[in-house]
Amino acid sequence: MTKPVSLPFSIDEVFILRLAFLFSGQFALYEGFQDWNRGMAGTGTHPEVAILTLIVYGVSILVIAMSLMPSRIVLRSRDLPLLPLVLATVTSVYVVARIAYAGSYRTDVLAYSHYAAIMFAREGANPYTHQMTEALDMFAVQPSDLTPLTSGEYLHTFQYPALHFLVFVPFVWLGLKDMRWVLVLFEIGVILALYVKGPRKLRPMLLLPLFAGSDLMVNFTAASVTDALWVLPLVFAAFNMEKPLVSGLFYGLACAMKQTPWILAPFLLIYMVRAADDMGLRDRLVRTARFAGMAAAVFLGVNLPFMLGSPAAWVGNVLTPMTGDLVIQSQGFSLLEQIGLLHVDKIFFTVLVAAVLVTLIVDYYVYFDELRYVFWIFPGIVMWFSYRALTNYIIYWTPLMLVSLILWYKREQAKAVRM
Amino acid sequence: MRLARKLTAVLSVILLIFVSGIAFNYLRSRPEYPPPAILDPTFDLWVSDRDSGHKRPLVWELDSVTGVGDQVVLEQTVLAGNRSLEIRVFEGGVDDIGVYVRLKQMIDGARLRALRDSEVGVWVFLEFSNKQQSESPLTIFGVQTNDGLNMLTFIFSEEARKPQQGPGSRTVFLATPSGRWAYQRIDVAGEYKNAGWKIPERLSFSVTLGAQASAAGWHVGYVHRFVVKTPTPAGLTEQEQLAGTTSLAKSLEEPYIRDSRIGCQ
Repeated sequence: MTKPVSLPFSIDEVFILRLAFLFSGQFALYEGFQDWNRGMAGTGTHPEVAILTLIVYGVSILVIAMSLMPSRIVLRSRDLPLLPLVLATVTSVYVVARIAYAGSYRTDVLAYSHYAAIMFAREGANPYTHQMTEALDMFAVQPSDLTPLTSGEYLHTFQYPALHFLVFVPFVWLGLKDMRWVLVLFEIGVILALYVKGPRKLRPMLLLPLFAGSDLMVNFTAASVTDALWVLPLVFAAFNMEKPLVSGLFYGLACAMKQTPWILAPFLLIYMVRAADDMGLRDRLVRTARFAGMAAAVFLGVNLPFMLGSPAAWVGNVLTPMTGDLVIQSQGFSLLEQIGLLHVDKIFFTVLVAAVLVTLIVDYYVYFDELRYVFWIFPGIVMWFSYRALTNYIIYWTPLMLVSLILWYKREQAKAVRM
Repeated sequence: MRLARKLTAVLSVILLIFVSGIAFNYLRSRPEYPPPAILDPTFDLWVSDRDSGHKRPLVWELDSVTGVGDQVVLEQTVLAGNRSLEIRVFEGGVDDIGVYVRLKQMIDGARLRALRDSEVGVWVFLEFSNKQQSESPLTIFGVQTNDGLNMLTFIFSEEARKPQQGPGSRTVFLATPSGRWAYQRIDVAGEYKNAGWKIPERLSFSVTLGAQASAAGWHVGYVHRFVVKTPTPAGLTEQEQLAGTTSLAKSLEEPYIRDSRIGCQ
């Protein structure tokens, strides 16, 4: 009978790491094959795709093989799964954007934002007072990628808060032609922030939900969906919830990027009040006011010059996604209306959204102890009931749920240590 | 707080069901919002054609047939105070091939249902004269649908004529005054019925201008906008779906001819 040997590492930790190696290698292999296909690597028309595909395959095979190497080697290379994931992301975005889409933007959002940045960088123009139709020509946007109104006409104004184009201005000055690479930078920022802040033993596993499918990290960005822009500052805001001024700063930046994070406001305020139950009411209100004040100051600091330049244009444009007569395009509840199974006025969906939002706010306050970490998906739930419920309104909350998971882990760990 | 914790979840569910039930009951009889039957009905969006370098509408796909010396020109212009699409073709008369241009879009699914169920009209401006044409017009300016089996053509013509029907094709002549903006109804569903055809699953919908090889010279047609009136359960809406169309109709009543630099030469 052999004596049990005490290992210098946790076997569960190594098992999890091995799984992460296998997953990341497998994901990159999948993307490599996709790139080989969509980049026509076999035809020789794009030699760089062939080279990139070989690199992705090589790294994937290496990481898969390493998953079953001796434990000390696996532990020493614990950060290796990041490599195939980031490499596959960058390669796939390049192949899809440059070759499959021939450089054209696949959303009017990015085309208008890039064009607004150019107008601002060159002439200091206020994009809220200009038509953006030139952008469609400049970035070869296809008719299928435009946003139609029920009249058959199309949106051709810039409809987002100012940071959504200002963020591109430095890159316009640097001569960058394709702003998808800015989105990729923000994505990599999200990956690194989650990775660095995650518990060391579980870091590689933490990234898996981001790569459970190619849409979140590859396809949407390659197709010019710009949500990564607000996700990164919101990730920083979430990691700094115990520092109201810092958190407010980043939340203000997220809100100055796009309207989506606005829905979080009531939940964040409740969090600020309820999360510090050990403090007196006055201190909690001060903390909440600091958060809200900083967020509002940052938002206004970015937007105020444009608001003052043309108040009606700014308000009208920024509220267009909520008030515009857009056609139904939905993967949410309103899909039933889109395909003709339900016949209701679109106000019905507004009522649903308001009812779900109010219910979630009340329930979050009352059941704070149970729902403390869940609220990051609440905007996704609310928007799923809206007239236009697109997948990106939901899927981009996944990184925030991961932040919440990390915060839960750290809190539970701290509790365990105290006990 | 304990009572609130006990009741809130149950009350939330009841409130959601109640509110959505009331809202559904109240709002289900309201008009629907079908997708637009015709995209870019005002020919707003233009891009540069990578091949020719000329501007062309973005949403409407360009399809043309030209012979030697023939030309097709598309422009955004303002005619009699209204922004419009100007379609010009030049028939060189050098060979036997006529010149034809079509600006088309595919319509299917819910959009086709909207096209079928709505009243569709178009504002056009006729500059050339068709009066002396024979049974087979030398030039056509109109709207055409093609579902792969059947082709339906609405021709804007100064003369009223009976519809012509052949196997897989039907031509309807819409009496249209020249030298002024005129509103014409494009009743696709009605003409499909008159022809005895089944409404297809998809069709191409186009504005077309063409001239036979014998009609040498420039030919031109103007389209201001398509108008779609959505139906309600009580029938067609009295108000035009597109804002300002009614007042537009009044403003367009007075004939006005711009200094003609093209026309039929």
